[in-house]
Order: sequence, then structure tokens, then C-alpha cells
Amino acid sequence: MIGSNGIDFNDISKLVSFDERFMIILEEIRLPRSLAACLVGGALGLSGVIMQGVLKNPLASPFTLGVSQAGAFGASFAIIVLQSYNSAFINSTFLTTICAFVASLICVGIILYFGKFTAMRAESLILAGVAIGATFGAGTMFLQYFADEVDVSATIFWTFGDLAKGDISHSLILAVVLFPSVWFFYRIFWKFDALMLGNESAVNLGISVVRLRIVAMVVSSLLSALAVAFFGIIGFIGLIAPHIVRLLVGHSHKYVIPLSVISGAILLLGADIVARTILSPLVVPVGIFTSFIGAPLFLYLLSRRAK
Amino acid sequence: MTFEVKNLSCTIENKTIIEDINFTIRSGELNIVIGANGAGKSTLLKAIARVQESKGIFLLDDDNIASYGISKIAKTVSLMPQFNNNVHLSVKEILELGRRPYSGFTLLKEDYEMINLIVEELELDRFLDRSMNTLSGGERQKVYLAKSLIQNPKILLLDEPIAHLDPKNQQEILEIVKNITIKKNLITIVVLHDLQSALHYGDNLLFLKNGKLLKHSVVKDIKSEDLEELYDIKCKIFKNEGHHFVLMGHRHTNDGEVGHNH
Repeated sequence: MIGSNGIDFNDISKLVSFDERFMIILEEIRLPRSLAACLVGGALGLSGVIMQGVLKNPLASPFTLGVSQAGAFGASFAIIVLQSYNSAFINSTFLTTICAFVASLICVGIILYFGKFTAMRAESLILAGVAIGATFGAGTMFLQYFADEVDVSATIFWTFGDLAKGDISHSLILAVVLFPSVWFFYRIFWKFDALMLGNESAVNLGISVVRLRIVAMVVSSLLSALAVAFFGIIGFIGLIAPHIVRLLVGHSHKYVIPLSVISGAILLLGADIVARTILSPLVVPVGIFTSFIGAPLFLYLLSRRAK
Repeated sequence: MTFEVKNLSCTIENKTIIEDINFTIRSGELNIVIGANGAGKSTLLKAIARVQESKGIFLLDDDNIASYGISKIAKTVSLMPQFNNNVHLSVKEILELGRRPYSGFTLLKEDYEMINLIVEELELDRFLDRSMNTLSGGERQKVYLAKSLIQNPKILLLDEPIAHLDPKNQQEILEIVKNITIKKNLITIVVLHDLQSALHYGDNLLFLKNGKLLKHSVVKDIKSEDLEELYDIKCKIFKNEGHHFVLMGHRHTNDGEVGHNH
């Protein structure tokens, strides 16, 4: 409920007395934004923990696997090539979102297709993700090089992860995918625990490892693709949320899966509050803020892993 | 129960790892696979557990388990791999995994009964809440063995269960395996490198060389020449009051003496 414009905790009495101006700010801006923060954070948290679980790599996340970069390329393609903001026929946000979404799914498709030839070896998939992400990044720069200034600034603006970008319908779509996914993965948490013992042990417990990997990658990528398509690139939440949970409650996926969703939601909500208030009245896109904090944390995790 | 392996072959990346292996073993006996590194011992176990694709027939009595689905296999064959990852799960969480092929997410009363039974048998009570990565090598092997038994298999496959363990722990693990094989009437196959233990605890030995079954014999019939042929080194078995002692000599090649073993 906290923000840069006009409402703080002292105004709680106005909330109780249904003050009209405050209710509009709350209902039209703060609540949808907080809801978006929780859902996007939760989706990225789940996406991260599932990718890390099936790829058995603590550095896996939508961001490190290139899904986010692919989304940015899709959006740039819509803005620069399809001229989505100049189109008279189609809603510009809709077209940009669709393109970002399709590009994210293409990225996932390439990773999975590549995985087929490497028998889904986890380390190969991570490296494939990094390479594909870099290719999409180069593609985005290529498009920007030939675009005019207005389109370039529109593309760059789009890539800022910003929770104000989407509206309530986007949050609802995300919720419809997120909640069944949390339930689905929670019910098969033990398969992720079994994978920690090694592929052979997992297969000997009756788990089809390749099928699990495909289902998990598709669903988690769908979640992050939706988040990127609706709200832009919000890095590091998917990477960091599961690590924080593991530090607090251990490694069993019975706890790590649901709590990563919750910690992702809390992290993004917290980051958004800070992003909205730190330079008040200026609102910094939360994606910039999460990367500022996430990158050093990422380096810290890397250094711990190296020890 | 009998377990018959017929015409088993396994090829990995166009390389034949094991070729046309045939043998029949009985339940309640400890069968030990010996052979040099790369002979195909682990692959044999993985093929039986269907962790590794292979061609062949596996008859458990008259039932071909090669036609079982992956989840039925998990309830019939339990494999303890050679390399177990060091995981940050509690002992209890590991043991519960053994019952997941039966009950999935929600474990039932009978699942916990089975877990408690094995925990008691292997004296794991005091470890239950400890994290696996805080246990010693011997304790960890015991937990993985317990998990394999909790799967309640008919066929128990152990790939080098005593590697890197001290003599006391080696003895403890093999005694548990021997006793439980008899008590539960299991079909047990264990891969071992320690010939002394193999001859002491095993009922039958399977000699694997270059992917082929060189010999399948009861322990008391094993001769020094069999081991020499298997490992290409000088070897002598002494028998004293029912115990076997193995002395490994110098290894000779065409170039002369290149080293010696124990």
C-alpha cells in the first residue's frame, strides 16, 4: 500500500472511512500493482526453483537460461519491425506482449530441442540457455541498430521490468497459470528430491526423468514467459528466491517449492516498494532495482559455490 | 524364487559394454560380481534395474520383468548406485523416498511401518533427523542401503557398497546385506572389488571380463587360476578353517615385471 504519491500509513483512517480519492489510488493503482508484484514474484520464484531442481544447477533461472532475453527480443521485433506502436489495427501492448511471449517460448523450444540430442544433460541445457540468451541479446541489438530513435527508446523502455506495465487482466492470467502450477509441482515435490540423489536413483524410484524435465521446463518457462511478456524483464528474483528459502528451511522440495513462491512474491513486493519510494516522487522501474541487488547476490552465490 | 538373465547385451554409444550374458541365481543367496574396472559390472546392475537400456530377458520365476513399466520396476528391483550424491536432505526424507513409488505424495500407515522396521533393523533411529551431509561415509551407505530395502524389492542390487569404507564398516554393511538376503529371501547381487570379502560373504561369484561372463560358480569351487584369468595377475587362494585368503602376486607382461599388488 506504500507508495510515492499521497498515501502513507497515517492515512489508514481514510481507508476505513472510504475516502474517495484514497480509494481510487488504492483500488486503481496500489492494489493492482501489489497484486502484480506478488504474482510476478511468485511466478518467477516457482520458475526458478523448478528449473534449478530439474537441471540440478543452483544457477538456473529464467534470467540465466535466456528466456527473459528472448522476451526482450520478441518485444523489440514487435516495436521495430512490426511497428506495433504505430499500428492502427491492433492494440500495441497486445502485439508486443504476444511477440515477447512467442519469442520466450521459441527460446524454451530451442533449449528442449537441443536437450534431446544431449539426452537432457543438465549442464548442457544451462550452457545452451546461456548461448541462446546471448543470441537473442545480439538479435535485439541488431534490430535496435537499424531502428529510428523513437523505436529504440520504446524498446529500451519496454525492457525495463515495470509492474505498472500490465493491468489487472494480465495479473489474472498469470494467477490462472501460477496457482495450478504450484499445486502440481508441490504434489510431485519428492521427484525433485529424488533427482538430487542422481538420475539413476530417480529412475529406480519410478521417475521418468526426461519426461519430468520436459514438463518442468515447459511449465516454468511458460510462467516466466508470461511474466516477461506482461511486465518486462525482472531479473534475479527467480534465481535468488529459492536460495533464500534453502538457507532458511533446508533443501527438501516439500518446503522449497511453496516457500520459493512466497519468498519471490515478498521479494518483488519489497523491491517494488523501495523502487517506488527511494527516489520519490520518481518511480524507478523495479527491474532495475532487482538487478542492482540481485547481481551482487548472484556473485556472492557463485563465490560460495567455488569454495 | 529364481532369477534368470538371458541373452543380455548392452551397447552405449556404439560400444558394446556387455555381451550375451546368461545366468540363473536363487533367492536367499548372496551373489557377488567381480571383475576389473570397465568389465561391465555396473552396467550389468543398471541393465537389470532398467536404468540403462539393454537387450535381454530377465525372468523372475517365470515373469519377464523386462516388460514391466518403470513404476512396477521400482517396486521389484532396487539399485544402490556406486556414486551417491552428497545431498542436503535429512535421513528421514531419504528413507521416505523409498516409499514414494508406492504412495506418492501422501505416505500411508503401512509405509511408515516399513520405514520403522528397517530403521530398527539397521539401527538408524538416532540419525533420523540428521542431514545426510553431516554423516560419515559408513553411516551414509547404511542410509542408502536402508532406502533400497524400504523400497521392498524382490531383487536387491548393490554397486560397490563398501568402497571407501574402513574394515569395520565394510564388515557391518556386508553382514547386514547377508542377513537381510536370507531373512527376506531376496535375490541379491553385489558388485565388489575386495576379493577377501567376496569370498568370505558370497555364496556365488560371477566373473565378468570385457563384458562377458567368464565364470559363474559357488565360492567353494573357486580356484586360484580363475582369479588369475580374470585379472591377469598372479593369484593364490588359501583355505583355512572354512575361510579364504587371497594373495595377489606380481603382475607380468611381455615386457617383464611392471608392478605389484597386495
